[in-house]
Amino acid sequence: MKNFKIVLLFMKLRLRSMLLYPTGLVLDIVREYVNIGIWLFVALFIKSVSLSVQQTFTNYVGYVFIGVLIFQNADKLIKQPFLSLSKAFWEKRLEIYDTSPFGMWGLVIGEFLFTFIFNGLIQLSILLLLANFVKLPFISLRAVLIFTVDYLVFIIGIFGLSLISASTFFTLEVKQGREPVSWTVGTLVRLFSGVYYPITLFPIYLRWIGKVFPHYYILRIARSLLGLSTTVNYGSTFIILLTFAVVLLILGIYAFKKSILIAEKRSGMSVLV
Amino acid sequence: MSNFAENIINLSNITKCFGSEVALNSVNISVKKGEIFTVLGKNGAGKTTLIKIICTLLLPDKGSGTVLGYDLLKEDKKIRANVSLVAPTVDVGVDPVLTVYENLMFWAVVYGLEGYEAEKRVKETLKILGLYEVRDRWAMEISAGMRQKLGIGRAILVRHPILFLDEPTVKLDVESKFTIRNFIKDVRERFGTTILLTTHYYDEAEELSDRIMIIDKGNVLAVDTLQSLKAKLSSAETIYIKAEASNEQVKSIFSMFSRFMPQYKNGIFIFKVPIFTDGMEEILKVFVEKHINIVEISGKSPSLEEIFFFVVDARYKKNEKL
Repeated sequence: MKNFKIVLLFMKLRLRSMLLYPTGLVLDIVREYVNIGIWLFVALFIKSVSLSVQQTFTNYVGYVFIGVLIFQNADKLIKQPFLSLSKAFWEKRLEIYDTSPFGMWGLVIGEFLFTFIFNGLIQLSILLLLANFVKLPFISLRAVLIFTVDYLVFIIGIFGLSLISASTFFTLEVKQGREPVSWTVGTLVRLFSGVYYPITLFPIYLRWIGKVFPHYYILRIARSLLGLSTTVNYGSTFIILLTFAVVLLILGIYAFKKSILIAEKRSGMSVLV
Repeated sequence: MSNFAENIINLSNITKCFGSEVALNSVNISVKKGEIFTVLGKNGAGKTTLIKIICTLLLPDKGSGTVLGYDLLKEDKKIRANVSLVAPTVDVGVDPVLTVYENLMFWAVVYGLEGYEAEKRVKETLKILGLYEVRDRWAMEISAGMRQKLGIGRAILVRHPILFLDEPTVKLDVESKFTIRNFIKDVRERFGTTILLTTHYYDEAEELSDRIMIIDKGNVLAVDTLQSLKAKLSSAETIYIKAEASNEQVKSIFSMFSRFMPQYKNGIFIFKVPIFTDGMEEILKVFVEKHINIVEISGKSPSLEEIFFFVVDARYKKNEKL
């Protein structure tokens, strides 16, 4: 319970920071909308010029819309803990947080959860606003519940990946900018996991690449529920997502804890020794 | 507090290297419960590295020991849960988007206090710090000295038995330094906290310390009370002799006592005379023989700064710890 309160505290700190500087908040929201808008535009363009796309997809714009929504949220979440550590490091707070037994975890989990909720709300608003425009059908409550459960399990896996990404802060001494894990995951997922196009476009020997990321499975579930692609077996896909969640979470916790030990050995917590 | 009980920190053979640079070289340190123990050294001496190792924020390459009875290497989480650290830079741990009150509340929760207990402790701490009246102001609106107090307040919020103050008055003005130093003494008196302080200010070490460790380039050169350090070491006293002397007499005195580094300013002879020697008697005997009229004699015992430089210099001449 105490640790949960520490997590909440870091979330409140982010919220306070956001509310004190509302320009940043507005820019964040505008950026999300613009990013989605750009991809919608691209999808509309491709659909209008490509006969093949028109013949293959019942709703290509909707297909891309869902892909971009889910990918962008996941991409932001994977980067968040690393960004939290980087900000705390350059503000010389990291060691002070480390003096509390749960300080570092509170920081990382709290800011991850805040981003999940904040970004999630923005994405939900985009979805509701544009659902009609991209011709997404209404779905049943059952479908919403299936997707919600699957999505939460997916996010647990993303949290694991984000911890692996954050661990590079200490293990590889990447102190700012884009670290290699989120960059690699983002690039490969974008290309191979079906964000913008189905993986069936690739030769068989390349299709496995996308399948090693949980994004592929949640995208399939989402599109299946919305009638944007072929139906999937929800049970087995859920099991796969759950497996990803468990494995990535365990790996992530291990990698992060190990990286803190490395930092303590090398004095990687402070800007100056 | 004059009678200190058992050792609360006991570390031996602590060694730490950063690449080829030796930050700490087989350091042994024992700190008694309730004392203010100062680690004095120049920038780069290894003070902060030592503090971080004791706080378990940094692992030593070699060495072992206990802090509060917990093993330094195996029970680091337990040590960390019982110590507080104030970093050398003002504003570390002070959040600009929170008020003074909210800053302390934030840390109260992070350190495990809850609900009513947290509120009560924060209010008490604010009153002790003298920040109660400014509790609703943004943290960056108060002065640097107040923010440093806030940083120390964060550390005393949970009444941990050990408080580490890493250069607590660096970058503060004279008045703020004075306030913080008094506050440190007050914290020890009020809570019986054991305080480990690092500083490169000699006057600060002289004013606050029960015992002083002099460290230079990762090596411990001396550890003792200030009085013992002054008594033990063959340091020099500064002797001032106000006298009426002609130019020839001054030249003669300078020539005879060059080993005492003589100066003559505004009618006052100044000599550096090693203590526990007959230097003073020798000088006075010559003054009498040369009929130099002595108006006044006074002396000054060696300052900590003089002891420090003496110790460092002796270390590199004799290569031994005093």
